Amino acid sequence: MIRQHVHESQIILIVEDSEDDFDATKRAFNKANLYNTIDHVYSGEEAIAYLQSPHVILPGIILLDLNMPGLDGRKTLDVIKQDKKLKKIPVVVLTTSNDERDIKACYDLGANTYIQKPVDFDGLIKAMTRLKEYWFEIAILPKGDNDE
Amino acid sequence: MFRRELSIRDILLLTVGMLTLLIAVLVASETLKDWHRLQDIRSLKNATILSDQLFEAGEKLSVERDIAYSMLHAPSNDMINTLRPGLSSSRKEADYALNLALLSLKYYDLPGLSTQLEKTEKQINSLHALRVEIDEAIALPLEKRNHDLLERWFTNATATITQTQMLWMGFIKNFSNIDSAATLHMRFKHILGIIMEYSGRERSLIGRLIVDNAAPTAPELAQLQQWQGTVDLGWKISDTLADQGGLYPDVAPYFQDAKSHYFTIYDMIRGVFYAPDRHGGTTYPISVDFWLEMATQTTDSLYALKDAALNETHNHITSLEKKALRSIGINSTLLLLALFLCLFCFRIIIRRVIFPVNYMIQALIDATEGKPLSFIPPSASQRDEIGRLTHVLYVFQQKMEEIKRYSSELERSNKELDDFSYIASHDLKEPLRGIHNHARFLLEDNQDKLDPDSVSRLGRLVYLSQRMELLVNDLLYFSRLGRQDLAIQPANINEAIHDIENTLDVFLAERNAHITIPHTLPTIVCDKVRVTELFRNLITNAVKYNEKETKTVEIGFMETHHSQEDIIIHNVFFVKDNGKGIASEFYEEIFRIFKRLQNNKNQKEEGTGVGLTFVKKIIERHGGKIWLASELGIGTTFYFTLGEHNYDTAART
Repeated sequence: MIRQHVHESQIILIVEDSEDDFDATKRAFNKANLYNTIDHVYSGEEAIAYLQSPHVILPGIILLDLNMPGLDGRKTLDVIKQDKKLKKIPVVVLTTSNDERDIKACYDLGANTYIQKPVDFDGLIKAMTRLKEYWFEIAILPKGDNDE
Repeated sequence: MFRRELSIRDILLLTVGMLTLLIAVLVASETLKDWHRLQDIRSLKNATILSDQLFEAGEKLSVERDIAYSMLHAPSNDMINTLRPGLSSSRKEADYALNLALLSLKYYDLPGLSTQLEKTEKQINSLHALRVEIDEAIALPLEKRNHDLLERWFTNATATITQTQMLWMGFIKNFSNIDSAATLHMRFKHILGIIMEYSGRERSLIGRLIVDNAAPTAPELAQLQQWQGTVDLGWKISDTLADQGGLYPDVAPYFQDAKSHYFTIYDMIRGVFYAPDRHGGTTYPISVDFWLEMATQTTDSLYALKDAALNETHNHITSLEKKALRSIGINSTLLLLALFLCLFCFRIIIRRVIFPVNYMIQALIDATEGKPLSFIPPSASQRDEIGRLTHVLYVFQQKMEEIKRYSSELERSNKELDDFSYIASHDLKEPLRGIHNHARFLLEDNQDKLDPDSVSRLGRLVYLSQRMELLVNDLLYFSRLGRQDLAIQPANINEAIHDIENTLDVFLAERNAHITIPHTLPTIVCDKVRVTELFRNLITNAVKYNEKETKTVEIGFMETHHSQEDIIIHNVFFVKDNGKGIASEFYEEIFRIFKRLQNNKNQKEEGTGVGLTFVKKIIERHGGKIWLASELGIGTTFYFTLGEHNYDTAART
């Protein structure tokens, strides 16, 4: 797959039901020196509505939580990846689970990256730094250090 | 030879069949023997009839001889005329008996008899020629008759009788080995024949002497004495034979009668022979008629004796025949009975053994396939081993049902537990993350506004939440160990240990710890990743809980190991250290999850206390078991197996 780099000006869409986790993620982005505009939706339904609204400017990347009430991350991912217009947007699954079944299911559905949410905040900063290095244009990527 | 698989039914059928066959063969051979005996007895019976005919022929010839002799010697035509019917009838009877006997003998075609038969026929022919001469002679007056003829006739007729007896003897000896009593009977009759013959000769001569009223000449007297001696001896022998042959008591009266007749007649005239002077010349004390009368009586008594003996022989042979027939009957009945008994036994075996066994096999098959309990078979009420087995099987089936219920319940609760620990771990992590982050952000954002105590407490909060995450992760991993399938493949354990050595390089070096593998480890079929983890846990434990200057970890494998309870266990791995050792009261407890034997406050090594729990779980998932031997201050050895089937000797390098 050809990797489309996210530009500094592009929006990052975060689908996250937990305010705490969103807070931490936002903070980790700052620590990782990522200053893109962040839009936050609280559920799968909201995310779909956001992405399918007529005048929307599509986000450069979507960070998706798996375990949410209502339309959960897997189903949301499925909808996005079934949509011709939306499926080009890279989706990073960001979740607590490190269960192999979850990981496999997400990649099968077309997720681009799978990141486990560590409890330790330092871990999250590290994860976000890597995310930035991999997906954002501003970074100079060393060859082979990807897919982690 | 018998490589075929035989069912119990086949084996029983074969056994019972063989036994039946054995009995049948035994009984049948007995029956065959009886049948042969019956045939023998029947041939003996026929032979007796033929022998009687021959005997009869001899007798008739003897009568003819005597009458013809008397006629040749008769002085008057009256006397000749009186005797003529007797002559013709005796000739007829003699011819008839002889012809019949010779015909039967030819039919028998016995070896060695043909020459005798030829001789007899020749003898009979010459007898016939003499008969013509006699007929011509008796037509002439006495003085014109040829005296030479008298002698020739007597000699020839006697020779014919003797020949008949020879023939009889030659025939009868072929049947002498069938029945001893019957043989004795025949010999008795033979002797009786001799008595009849010789006493007949006596009577002929004496008759002539009386008719002539002449004293016997010296040669005639000698002849008479010789004949009388023969008859006397005959009486003695026949007496013994009759006794041995079981002819007494039925024949005894006739025997006595014949004997007394013979001796009476002899007594009457004896005086004239030996002391003629005392009797006034040669006059005999009896008339010719009276003599004839007495002679007839004697002959009749001998005939009566012969008939009685014949009758006795017939009775004896008939009883033998009956006995043989009865024996055949009994044996055949026995054979039938044995067959019925075998069939009956087989039926019982089928009904009481094979049916219930087949039922139980089916019931066990059903039980293993998880089908529901079937009905109680009727064999459960049998008061034998099969009945008990059936009953036990029934109880077993009920227990199986219970176990099935328990196991499905257990399966469900295990599943719930797995799901629970998975869900719980995830759901626990989210608020934990929140707590951690908030404490962290509070510290980051407001460090300068907070007093040192609050800073320390917030730091502690961060630390504890991190530790809590470790615990939850372990719990999650543990639940996964129980849930996920093993990735089974052949794995070289030496390589696995080397991998661990490489990854723990720094850890080992820092602590001056050394791993030794004295003997090459085998290649085993297992989940390599898990087994590597197992060894890593054991190795790190061995190093962590060790205060020695130089820490050693020895890893080995034994094909057979004698446990402390002296049970032989195969394919045992061990990990031996020179660490602190474990007190025996903790041997079981150390495998419990989150169990640690020491507070980690005083210890730079930290752990959640799950290592050994994981180790045990991995071993159990492989179908093996773990145990240990330890001595405080000296060291601990963990022993474990990975299930018999996982060991692959061929791959050992």
